[in-house]
Formats: sequence, C-alpha cells, structure tokens
Amino acid sequence: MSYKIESRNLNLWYGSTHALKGVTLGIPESTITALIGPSGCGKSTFIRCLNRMNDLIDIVRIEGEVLYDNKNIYDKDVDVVELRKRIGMVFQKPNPFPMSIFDNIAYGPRIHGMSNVDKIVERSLNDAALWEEVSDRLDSPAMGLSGGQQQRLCIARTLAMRPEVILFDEPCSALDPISTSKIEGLMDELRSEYTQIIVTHNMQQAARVSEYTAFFLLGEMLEVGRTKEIFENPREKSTEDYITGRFG
Amino acid sequence: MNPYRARYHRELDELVSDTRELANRVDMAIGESIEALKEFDSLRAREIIKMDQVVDELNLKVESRCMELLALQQPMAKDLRLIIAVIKIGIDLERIGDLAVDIARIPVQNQGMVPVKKLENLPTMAAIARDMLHEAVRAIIENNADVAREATKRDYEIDNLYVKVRDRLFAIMVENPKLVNDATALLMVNRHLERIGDHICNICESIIYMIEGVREHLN
Repeated sequence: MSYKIESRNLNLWYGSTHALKGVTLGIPESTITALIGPSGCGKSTFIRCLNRMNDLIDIVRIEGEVLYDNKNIYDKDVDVVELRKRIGMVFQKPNPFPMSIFDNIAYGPRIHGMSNVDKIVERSLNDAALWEEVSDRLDSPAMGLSGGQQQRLCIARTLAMRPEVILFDEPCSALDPISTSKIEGLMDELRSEYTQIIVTHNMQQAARVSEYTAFFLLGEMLEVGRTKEIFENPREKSTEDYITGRFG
Repeated sequence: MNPYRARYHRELDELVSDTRELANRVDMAIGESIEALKEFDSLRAREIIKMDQVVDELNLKVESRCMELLALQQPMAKDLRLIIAVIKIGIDLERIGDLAVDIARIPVQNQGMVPVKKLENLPTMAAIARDMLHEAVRAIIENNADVAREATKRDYEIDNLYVKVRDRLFAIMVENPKLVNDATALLMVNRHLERIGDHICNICESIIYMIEGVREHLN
C-alpha cells in the first residue's frame, strides 16, 4: 500500500525520557486514521512529529524518518513553514486569534501572499460548515463564538491554507455532543479531499469516524488495522484490554 | 478498577451464567418432551408446555440486559461479541424451547396409536441433540471454540436418523392407513428434532464468533 505520510522507526526523547519507541506507521491518502491509547502513550507526541511541531521543544531529540509524499520531512532542506502549510493541525482546545472571525481565516493566506482572500474566507467557512452561522457577523470577535463554533473556525483557518493532511489532536474533548457531532460530520465531508489523523480518547468517536485505527502503549505503536477489526476483534490482548476498559 | 467498569464486567459474567441457565432449561425440555411422548403421558406433557413460559421470560430478561449494556456501556471487541452472541444464542434456545413444546403437544392432542417405542431413532435423535447442547455449554464454560466446532459434527447423525425415521413412518402409513394421523404427528416430531439440531449448530457458530471473532457456517 502507498501512504500519504509514513513514519519509519521513529524514536523521540524528551531529555532522557524515551517517549516514542521505533514507531512505524503508514497513513493512507484520503482516509481518516484514529490514534488511540492511554494518556502518556505517545499518540499526541507522534502526531506532533508529523508536522515537526516538536521542533519547538528544546529538549526533544528525534531519530528515524517521517516520509511525506516519499520525502523525509526531517531532511535539512525541508522548509518547515511550507510543511506546516501542507500539514495543518487542529488542537484540543479551540485557539482562535484575538481578532475578528474574518481576520482569523484571512491571517494565513495574507502572510503567504495569497490573492482572493475574501473568496478563501468564504470557501473555508463553508467547508467547515460555519458560513451560515457567521456570514452576517464576519467582523465580530472570534472569541465571542461558542466552543464548537470556535473549533470549526480553527478548522476553517486550517482549510484556508489548502493543506493535504489535517492532524486533529483531541478536537472534540472540550465540546458538547452537538458540536462534537458537527465536527465529526465535517471530518466525514472532508474525507475525500484530505488525509486526516485524529488523536482521541473517545473510543466511540474513533470507531465512528475512522477507517484505520492505531493503538499506542508506552511509546510503542502496538497494533494498527481497519477500525472495524480493531474494535470487533483486535489481534493484541493489550488492545482488547484497553478498548474494553480492562486496564488497571 | 473503576467500580462502574467492575460492575459492567460482573454483568457480562451474569449474562453468560443466565445463558447457561437458559440452555439447561431447554435441555430439560427436550428430554422431558421425548419422555412424555414415549409414555404418551399428557400430564407430564402439560407441565413442559407450562414451563416454556419460564424459558421465554428468562430469554427476555437476558435480551433486556443485553440492550441495557449496549446502550449504557458501549461494549467493544470481545465484550461486544459476547453480547451479540448471547442475543443470538437466546433466540435459538427460545426456538428450541418452542419446538420441545410442539413435541409435548403430541401426547396431548393425539391418540398414540403409533408407539414411539417402534421408532427408537426418535429418542436417539433427542439424545444426540442434548449431547450437542451439553458440549455447546461446555465450550462456553471452557472458552474453547473447538469444543463447539466438534459438537456441530454430530448434526450429521441427526440428519441421517431423520431420513430413516421419515422412511419408516411412510412405510407404517402405507401398511396401515388408519395410522396416518398419528404417523403424521410423529413426522412433525422428526422434523422438530432435526430443526433442534440445526439450532444447536447456530448456537455453536455464535459461540465460535464470541470466542474467536470469526464467522463460520457449520450447519
């Protein structure tokens, strides 16, 4: 199988702590892959490796490869800003900029010198299923939106840069079920155009939205497979123990 | 472990023990219905018909608990397979119970002019079916899918005896047309026992799915 993005024997240390241990994982194009596992298992650390967000932490040391369209993103000649433009990220807590709804979306396209910013804003808000709710108040502060709307605004902000891959780090953990449902519906609509990876603690969410699921434990990626198989009949006992709540 | 989760796991264990209880009652119903038929004992037969209500109620209780666990606990993997298997096994056991009742109705509604003693293969079919059911229960207790696989192999014996009993009954009817009514009733018993064998095969398939997560068609 060919992958859009693929880690090969990826190791990461926070100082002396070995947080990722030889993770090899391929993400097929135009699919949603869920990363599950208990807190501290390395799934967020892993997802942050995929667009070099961990570069921002001084004590981090990384070995191994992350291939994006068959090019190692840790090669010296890689432009990290361009990389993060193509691999966007949505975080656990909505983090709109303290500016208007319009400016939140327009910020990235403007600093990248893109034209037709008005159209980009409208298209991004439409794609994030937010346009109808905010089209009459684009100049209002983004901080005035509800949590669910703020998160969709952050997704719209990511979409404005036309990425190929979107990384979601627990995007619904601070949202109510209605907002969660809207984000999941949105992910489904984006499925054909984007490769999406979601870190989630919500087993049902992983089962609902993803085609593939990978289980992490103590820094290792122990099992990956089709979501249906992982949740119905996992190969590894530790995967089964985790998803059936038998840990601890 | 979280006390809610511990209770959930206890409830899963109880589902299994309730299913075993259901299987035991159905097993008893098969045995009793054949005994009542052999002796043409309508009083004994009426008891079996009455007891079927207990089987139905127990099955409903198991089904309701499954629904509750599905709704409240969002079971996954082997827990999910267990609940699905228990629901399916319950449906098959309930049907077997109904077939035992249908057998028990024969001594209540017929005259017994064709003695079952002349048709030893009918009780043999029932005995094989009960053995298969015992093995299915053992497969659950020992969590061993191979025991369930092995149990299904005996369904061929029931199928072979079914053909022999059918042919024998046809011969009896040809020899003495006055016996057509009772012989036809026994043809139905023959058919019910054959169907019981099939339902036990279904139960074994559910047990294999529950234990190994694979779907096999063994009937």
